[in-house]
Amino acid sequence: MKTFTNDAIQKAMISSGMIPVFFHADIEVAKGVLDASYKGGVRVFEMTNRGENAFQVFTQLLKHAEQYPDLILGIGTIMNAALTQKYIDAGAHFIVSPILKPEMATVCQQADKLWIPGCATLTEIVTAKDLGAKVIKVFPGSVLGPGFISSIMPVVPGLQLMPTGGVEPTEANLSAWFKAGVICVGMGSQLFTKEIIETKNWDRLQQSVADALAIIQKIRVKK
Amino acid sequence: MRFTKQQIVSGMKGAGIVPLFTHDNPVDAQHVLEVAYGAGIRVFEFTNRRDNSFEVFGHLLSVARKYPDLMLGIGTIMDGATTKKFLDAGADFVISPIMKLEMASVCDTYDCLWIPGCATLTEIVTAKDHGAEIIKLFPASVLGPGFVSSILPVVPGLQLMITGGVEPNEKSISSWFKAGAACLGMGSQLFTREILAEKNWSLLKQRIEETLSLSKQVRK
Repeated sequence: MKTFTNDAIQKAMISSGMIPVFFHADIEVAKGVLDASYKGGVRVFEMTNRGENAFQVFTQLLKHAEQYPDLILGIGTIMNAALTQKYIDAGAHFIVSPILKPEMATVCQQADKLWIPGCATLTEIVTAKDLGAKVIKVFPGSVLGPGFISSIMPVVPGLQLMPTGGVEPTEANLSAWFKAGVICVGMGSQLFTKEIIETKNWDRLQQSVADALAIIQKIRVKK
Repeated sequence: MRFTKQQIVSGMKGAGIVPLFTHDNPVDAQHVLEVAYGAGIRVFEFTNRRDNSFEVFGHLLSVARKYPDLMLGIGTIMDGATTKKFLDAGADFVISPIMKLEMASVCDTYDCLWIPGCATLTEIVTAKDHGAEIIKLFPASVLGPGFVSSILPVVPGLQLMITGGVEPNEKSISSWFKAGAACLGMGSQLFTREILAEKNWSLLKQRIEETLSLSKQVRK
């Protein structure tokens, strides 16, 4: 089983700038999406725990991902400590949550796994940071907006924030987030559109992923 | 404490504007404080955002003692230990961008006004239950005046200090007061980079005077 240090994961998140967030109950679809994302340049991928068979799909996907030595695969939509432990035992490289649940911090710390809690206020963010979160997910991103990031960054310098929810793969939207100071963005339904998934158009998905990553690199050069 | 909580709350609501400011140069910081006082400001928040903010704040406190009616508080405080450090130095009140309960206990011990920063009604009511008389809404531009008008009927009597993105113009000021704000915190929009770089104190004085008069005018 592959392992990555938390530092290596954080660095990979920053360098690619975009973490795809995806779930599908059909393992073949999940594999197709993971393969296309990897070929498009993704190196950190978040599968989410959103269906009854999510655990089975995730363990099979982890096995499938073994062929890519530099692909980091984490689990998202985790809401409690028991599930955190279950996925860490299964080999998840990092744990993402839409909420701030301190008991998850304890489990991740014991296993030395990166814990990425979801926060929506500065009080939650600072609480997460005090509990050891190195990277914090800002959720739901589209409700808070890039203005939230630019307002809080001068107050607590050095925060490593990843907005998720409603981030769009357009230059205007991505540029607003990166200018505000995020280290990377999470992107789900805006990237994996219903149409692409239904038609299993993996070539197009690979192109969309590559395009989004290219936009981010371009924005960073400008910055 | 030099001032009662009530005096500080009254001072904040009276002017309607609380300037918030930081600078690593004590001489420039003193200029800004004295210019603000000259323009009519009586409650001033210095923010703890630089490595030497404690030293600069100490200098400002000694300046503030020359003005018996000037209330000088410290902002951007994140924990209990720093709260205690600034209160021991003589801060008149303590402001935070977050709702950190250990700060409430320290302020309570000193009988000092604790103004926590909140961004949801749950955080606001938790702060109120822990003794916060005035609560800072932050970052206000993200929440908007609609947030204030939605929650005030639910928890009447809330005294909210709006901070983050408030602009020194009639439209912005009036929208927040109409929604029910008790006062507005104003930082970078008032103390612009240009003014500070050019040390244009006369323009700063004029800007503060205009803002205070707008605040008075829209609340008539």
